[in-house]
Amino acid sequence: MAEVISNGRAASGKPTAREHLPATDPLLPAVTLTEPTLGGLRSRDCGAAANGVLSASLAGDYRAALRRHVDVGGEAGLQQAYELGRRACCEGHGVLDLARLHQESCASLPSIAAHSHAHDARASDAFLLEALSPFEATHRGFRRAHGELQQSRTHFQLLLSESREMEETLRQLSKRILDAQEQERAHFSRELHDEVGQALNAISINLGALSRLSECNTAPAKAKIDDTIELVARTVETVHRFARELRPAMLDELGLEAALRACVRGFAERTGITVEFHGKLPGKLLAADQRTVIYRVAQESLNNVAKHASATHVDVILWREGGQAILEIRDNGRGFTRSPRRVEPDRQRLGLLGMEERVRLVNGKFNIESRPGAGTIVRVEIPLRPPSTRTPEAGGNLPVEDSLPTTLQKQPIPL
Amino acid sequence: MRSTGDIVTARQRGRMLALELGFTGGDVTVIAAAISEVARNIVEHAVAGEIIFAETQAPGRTGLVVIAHDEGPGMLDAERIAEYGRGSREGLAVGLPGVRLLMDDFEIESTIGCGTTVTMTKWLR
Repeated sequence: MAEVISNGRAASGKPTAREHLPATDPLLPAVTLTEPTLGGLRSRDCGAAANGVLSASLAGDYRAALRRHVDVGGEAGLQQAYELGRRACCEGHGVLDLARLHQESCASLPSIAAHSHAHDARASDAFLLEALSPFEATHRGFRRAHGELQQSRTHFQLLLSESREMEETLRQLSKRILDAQEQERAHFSRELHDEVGQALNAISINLGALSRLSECNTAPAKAKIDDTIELVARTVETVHRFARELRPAMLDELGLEAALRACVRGFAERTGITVEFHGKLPGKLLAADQRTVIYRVAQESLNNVAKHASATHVDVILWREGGQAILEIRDNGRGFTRSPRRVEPDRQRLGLLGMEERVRLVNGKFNIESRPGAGTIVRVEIPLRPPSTRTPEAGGNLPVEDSLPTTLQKQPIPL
Repeated sequence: MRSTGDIVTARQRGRMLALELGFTGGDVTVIAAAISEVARNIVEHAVAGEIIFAETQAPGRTGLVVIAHDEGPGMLDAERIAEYGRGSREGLAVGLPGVRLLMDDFEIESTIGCGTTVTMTKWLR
């Protein structure tokens, strides 16, 4: 199909350069400019062209054709001029190469060199014009391509800024969703703790009073009341645990370490998995939103360990490294090979995505490292903010603890 | 159009009409170059073809129209081949993409087995 526009060389049956080119995308017209076309390859293969030196054959043909044209004149000479210009263009020569060739050829023609024949000079000028016309086409092509490049550049810049705006909007949106979620959890947590918890306490007290009444002083009634007191006590425990998990009051009142300790303790009691908490980060270094992120990641990671890892031991480590707060949750479970985001069901994926999103919103990094049989490490790095940008919160901090076991001292950098 | 000699004749006719219509300087050269390209296509790829030159009138302007027709093999996707930066195997802007850039209007129609017709116009400035 492309033969028609070529000059017959392609008919050799050899694969042409074009057939080796990748399919071009119609949306990116400028790209094809940089791809090696046959013309480009030829000029590269031919060292002479690269140096701007014209091949002896082209120079000889040009001189001979010019001489003939000056002598005979006519359209045939001009057609030859066009063909020679085309050849020079396809061989990768520049306009100046051709102009110099023309100049040298003229110098070799005595009548032109001596300015003796006005006719000869005119013929020679006409010859040059024809020879230059293929360069004119090329020049116009480059100009147009340049215009298109500029246009697509503007277009891509616009797309880029639009996508940045959209990203920022999404970021704001997920921040608002997560903030609202935290607020709602805190609200439910308080309600559970204050209303339900208090009501249960009252019930418990009433039951105690009931058991001391003489009317109830029979063995079966007493046993029933004691059972109920026991049940209420267990329910109080459950309500407190739910309240704590929803939004530990400690996180806001006693700080991150206390909340994490409570979370870890609760987890160990519930699952029977041994958990060690090593905290070595002054809580006051973190802003409220950062503390929430760390707490939620630890909580979610521990839940994942319980659900998937078949682990017997977990370390939760929090420390400071340079300008960053680092949290790691390491388990000795079975680990996994592929990214759990691809193989796990949606709910699990959502959990991981949620953690990632929270970490991203405080400009942190989230990473999971795992190998089959070698356990899993969830690692979060959160850049500490300068004190001025932190929201001050009363009573949010615990004194620095110095309880890291020596085996762990290597990773966390002591303060 | 059968031989290289006919290319010269075609250029000559085109040039004469161009000068007659009042084209000057670079435009005449550009028209001759475009004729060279379509003519060499016919000579190289089709057994025979013809090139027709005519004056064309549009409201407020005069142009030279060149119609190059052949009954050669034709090509698939001729529009694309004649587009700058696409079809040209020789790179740069020679061949049909070059013609398109040199002339003001350019149309190509081609059917496999039936041949190709290029219609191109240069308007007087």
